[in-house]
Amino acid sequence: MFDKYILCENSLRTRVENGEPKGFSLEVRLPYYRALGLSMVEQIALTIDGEPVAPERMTLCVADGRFALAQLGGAHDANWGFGEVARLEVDGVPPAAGEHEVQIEQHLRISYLPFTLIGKDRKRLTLA
Amino acid sequence: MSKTARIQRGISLYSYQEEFFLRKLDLEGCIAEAAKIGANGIEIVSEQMIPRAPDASSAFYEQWHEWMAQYGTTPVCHDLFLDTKRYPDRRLTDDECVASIEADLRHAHRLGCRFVRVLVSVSPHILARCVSAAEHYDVKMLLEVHSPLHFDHPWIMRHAESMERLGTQHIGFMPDMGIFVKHYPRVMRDRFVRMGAREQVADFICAAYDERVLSEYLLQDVRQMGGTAVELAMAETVRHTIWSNPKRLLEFMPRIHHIHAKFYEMTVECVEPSIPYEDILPVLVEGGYDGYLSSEYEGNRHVQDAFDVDSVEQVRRQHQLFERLLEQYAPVAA
Repeated sequence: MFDKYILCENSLRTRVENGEPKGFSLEVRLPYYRALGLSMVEQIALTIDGEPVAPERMTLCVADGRFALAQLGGAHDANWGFGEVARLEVDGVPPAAGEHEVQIEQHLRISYLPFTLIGKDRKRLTLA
Repeated sequence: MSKTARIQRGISLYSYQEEFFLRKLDLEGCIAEAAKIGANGIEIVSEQMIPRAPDASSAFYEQWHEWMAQYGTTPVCHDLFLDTKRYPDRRLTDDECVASIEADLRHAHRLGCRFVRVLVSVSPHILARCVSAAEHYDVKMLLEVHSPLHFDHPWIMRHAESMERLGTQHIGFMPDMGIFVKHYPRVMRDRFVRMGAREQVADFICAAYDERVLSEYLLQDVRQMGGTAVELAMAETVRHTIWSNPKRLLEFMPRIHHIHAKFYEMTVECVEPSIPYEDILPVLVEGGYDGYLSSEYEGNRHVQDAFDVDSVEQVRRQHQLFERLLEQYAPVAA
């Protein structure tokens, strides 16, 4: 549910700090009908042009704080709001300028479901 | 001994989830839309629409009551969740579950709601421990009888027995009308076809649903037809989407205080093709139901991949249907 809204259009950007390219970022939403504690976001898998992005390179930024993906399980007091546009920051060499095939998959641990809730989106995004 | 039914129109703001998600409507906007169509009983999935729920700010609760007064709406129900799997390495303890529900009861009370929706997966022994808090706040805990469960499922029988043993008025039921899906919802079928299910296999599954074929047999048939992953996924939904007898509501009516008026699609003629509200309303009237029909539109997830969703129009059509049926079956309704 809400899968087609996971990747926000026109949100792929390079990240530059002190004139140095640090990586890139994109804006993402949670594919679920209510806010969810971050400790229940089990996995965020990102692929750019067919190449999986190593999870260690990624940080999720929500209104409640910034969390490396490995820290999500311990983020007991932070929520990702319903429809909240979060920023996924990726460290390392940004992709080249131009259009890229971006795929994302989120795995959510929903207590009343007897399976992992998986949301998937795929869009062509242009690096700004 | 038959009570006169008193049936009112309401809405769970869950119905407007698509517009809220996309920030086309904010919470006040949702309340305003409900008031426009006379759906004055407001139910809310607080974790969708209220920041920091169930621990919202004092300023929020003040604003909420101002909106209720301004729009002439009445707070009815807060839908709670229980995140038993909140932590990766363990389940919540019973004490933590009770504390979580008590926080929801307090929040419901601050909203002025008379009920909380309790997830059907919550155990009777946990609810039993929350009775004193429910009585203190005077908020009834209503177990949502939701598909694939139904009134003759052993889990619901167990809950009913527990309620009677406890002898409290502060636990009851809120059936979700998705337990009365008479025909496979068209919007679900069409979504599976868009995902790649062959038309003839989708038709086969819909026919099997109407023939009340056991889900295990249907799955076997679809496998033997060389069913693809998508077709098997559609067949699997028959385990969760159910038809049961609306007349079963009569036995439990003294404990039924709220109705989730689930729907997947309202046609332009204001008909829900899959759920027979024209058969359900007379049962509610016969049973003397006193409460709201709380619209719960859940079609957006089945159409959003291909169409713009108009939840406001969908809910408007359901309330046209309610007005017509209430006129026909319960002309003395409040």
